[in-house]
Amino acid sequence: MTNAKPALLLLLTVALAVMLLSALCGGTGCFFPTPSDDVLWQIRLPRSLSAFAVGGLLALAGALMQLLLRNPLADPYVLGVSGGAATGAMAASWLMPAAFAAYGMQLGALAGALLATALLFGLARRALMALTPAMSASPSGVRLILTGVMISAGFGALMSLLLSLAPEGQLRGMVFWLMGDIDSGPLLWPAWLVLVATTVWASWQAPVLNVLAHGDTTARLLGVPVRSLRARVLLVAALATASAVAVAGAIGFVGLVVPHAMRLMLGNDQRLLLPASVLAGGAALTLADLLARSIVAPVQLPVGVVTALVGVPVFLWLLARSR
Amino acid sequence: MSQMPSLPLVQTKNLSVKMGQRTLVSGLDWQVQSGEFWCVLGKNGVGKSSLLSVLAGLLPRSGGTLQFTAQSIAQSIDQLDDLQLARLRGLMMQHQSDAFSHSVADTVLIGRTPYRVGRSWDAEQDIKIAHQALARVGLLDKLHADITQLSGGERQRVALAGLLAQDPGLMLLDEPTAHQDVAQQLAIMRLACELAQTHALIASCHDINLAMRFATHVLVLGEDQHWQGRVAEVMTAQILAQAFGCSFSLRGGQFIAE
Repeated sequence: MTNAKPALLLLLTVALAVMLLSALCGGTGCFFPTPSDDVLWQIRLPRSLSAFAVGGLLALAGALMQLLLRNPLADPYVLGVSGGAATGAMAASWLMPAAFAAYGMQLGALAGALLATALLFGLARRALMALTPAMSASPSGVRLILTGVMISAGFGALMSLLLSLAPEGQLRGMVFWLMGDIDSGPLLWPAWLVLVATTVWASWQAPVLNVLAHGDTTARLLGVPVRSLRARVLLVAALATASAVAVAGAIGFVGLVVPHAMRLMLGNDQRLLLPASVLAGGAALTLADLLARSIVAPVQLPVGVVTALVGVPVFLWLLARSR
Repeated sequence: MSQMPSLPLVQTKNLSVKMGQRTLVSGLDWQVQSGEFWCVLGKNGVGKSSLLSVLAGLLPRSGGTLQFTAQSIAQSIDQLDDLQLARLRGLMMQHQSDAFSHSVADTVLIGRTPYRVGRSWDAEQDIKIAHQALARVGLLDKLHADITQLSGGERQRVALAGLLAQDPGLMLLDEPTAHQDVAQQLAIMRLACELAQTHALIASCHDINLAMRFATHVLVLGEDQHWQGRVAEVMTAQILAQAFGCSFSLRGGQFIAE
């Protein structure tokens, strides 16, 4: 663990550099700010902060889900939280179009994500509490994953139903949201609050999470209260995912690729991996958002398209390298 | 703390173990002291691993009592919390399921968990203990190796080193010599004997002759009865024949199954 501080300092420097670049640059080029610059303070800085918070939340949630499911290829959406959020956002944008135009989709997404989390806890309670039998090697995560996949599928069907019934005028906005779109709306500061709280929790619990990474039975034999720890990990990951999705829609690949890449580069010590994932995820999404709003300016791409276009080849490369 | 001979480290009364509807062990009255090395013998599926899991607190027992001696007081396993139990007993499992890459050093260091409550970073003392444990299983040269790249036998010895680092009074070993070559089987049994000077050891064993050579006591599990005691008293051709369902003869100090 001698390399922890240098690695985290390097990542912090990279993250700050990306933030600076993202705040100063955009579709109209880069410029040095004046103290009372509206574009900087009202538009680019809040947007960069949003992107960083969302990226950090997704990467942290991904790292926790990979640990919980003992599967290095799990992502924050595997348990259906994003499906619930998307359905909630679609329902909100359709059912309360004008009155809450600014908040409707975000609040709907938050409600949907929380509903999906509650459903998961209700349905998968037994799977979550079931410990891997002492003598079998099969992870108890399988039942949890299957429950999540079914919740996703259910919400997917509801979402298609809403999309097919929605009026023409709103379709474009809804589809754009589904692809992931960073909006520095009213949820910016709540999202940062959740980011700080979940990161502090994860860093504090990292030594125990390191034991859990060696398997349920090993952790139980060493005195770790595995059942309650697993429930708390899932709750924190779901909260982080719900917050991220509420701010920016279901942006893919950040939560999958970033923790995986960090694990390959820094090893699997959660004390280093979890904070590093937050910093790297934040930086990655801020950079992706900068690309999304400047490549084909003045047209803005949904940032989810950029993360997918970069994430798919990177992930396939990582997959080919792993055995 | 003075050793009280009247209080065994672990004690069962009328213990029974079930797997689903099937009763594996019933009516087991058993006492294990520090300084004893017990081998549990029996056919496949007779309940050796299940019994170890019950003793470790991983599986619930289906009847009887199970007591550990902690601070010179006999306490039921139900009264002990997770952390107390982690300092009293440890189990080396038959299989290790590794989902992630970890270094051998970190994997052994995890065994110190019961003693590092509330600390985030690793103490020098714990690192030293982990290295000593690795040296005792002959894997100090693999300190920085990745556990997912080790051979089955090496991985099991890393697990044994983790148990040594945990250093519980009662060490449970589920088939410690499985996956090991002949030289390593001897090395592990010798290490077990050495450990039994200061700890209580219970191992499930497949090799009758290794058990006879190294253990101090045996528990032989049969279909609906069991035999226990010192090796010389219990390991007879007659009892083994009843437990394993084939006949044995003793030639040159070795049991040969026929």
